Amino acid sequence: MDRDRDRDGDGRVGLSDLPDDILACILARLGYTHAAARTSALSRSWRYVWTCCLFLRHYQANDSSPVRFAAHAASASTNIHVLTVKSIYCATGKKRVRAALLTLSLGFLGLSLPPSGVFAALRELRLEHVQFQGECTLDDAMLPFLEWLEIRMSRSG
Amino acid sequence: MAAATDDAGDSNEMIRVVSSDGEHFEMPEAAANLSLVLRHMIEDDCADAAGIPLAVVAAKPLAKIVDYCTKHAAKSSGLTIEEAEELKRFDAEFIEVDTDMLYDLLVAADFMGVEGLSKLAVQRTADLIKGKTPEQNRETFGIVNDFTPEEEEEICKENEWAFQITKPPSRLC
Repeated sequence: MDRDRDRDGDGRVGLSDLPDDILACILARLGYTHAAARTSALSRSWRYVWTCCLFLRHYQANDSSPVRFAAHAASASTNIHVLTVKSIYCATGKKRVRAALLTLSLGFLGLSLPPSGVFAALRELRLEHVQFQGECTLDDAMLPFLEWLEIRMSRSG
Repeated sequence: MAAATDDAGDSNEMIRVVSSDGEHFEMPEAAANLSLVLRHMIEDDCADAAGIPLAVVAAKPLAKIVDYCTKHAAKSSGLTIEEAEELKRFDAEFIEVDTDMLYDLLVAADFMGVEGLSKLAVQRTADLIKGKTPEQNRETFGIVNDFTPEEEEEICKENEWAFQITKPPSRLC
């Protein structure tokens, strides 16, 4: 095997030197987001690899941190094409998200859209099982590049 | 893949490949067809007596890949339950390798486009990572911790949720 692949410059070739797409496949086989996210602590070259394969299946009552972290991770990495968040508790995007597609499946919780600029690059927004309280306004400043909005199985109340 | 195997049923031609370090290997055409790269080379009539050069695959991993493809090509269609079980056992034993070889197989299978082997190696690597602390994983895979203590603390704080939970409730996953 050719040994010019030492990406992390530690003098030897190993797992850290694999291309990110192979590493992302490996992390996706870990089965849980938190297991993938734990690899962020391995070394600098691993810090954001897990954000290439967001598969949020982490649920804990009254804890939106995975969702917030996903939004943070999405803003830190431009590798993500699809960010799918399924949370039965809550989801708020507080950071700027560069993902082009966001799917929120919210178990009939209310959704308040974040202020302008947070979803600056969002092209597709899919909302499922959302409870809309009162009027929900989507304006151009909030979602300047939105091309596709899908709302399924949602309620107003 | 099925079509390739059928073709191979009619042809017993052996395909030669050459590793990056100059070693020659032979495998049946059906086995070579399990590699996307080799299949395209064969289709383009690039498979000659000199052998197809594989510039980034060394002899050691190539020998394993030839083994894998030969076994799987011979058993790829109309498997009985026993044969499928035997192939599973073969895979399990095949992938019991050290982390250096695992790395070589991941790279080579990806380069050669051997899908089944890529999946096998990826799954094996994931299984090795699973359920271990970052420190244990560093040790297993020879990863050097290049964070400052401050950075490490920051990451652990940032991803606190990931380090606290060992397993989410199964009914929700």
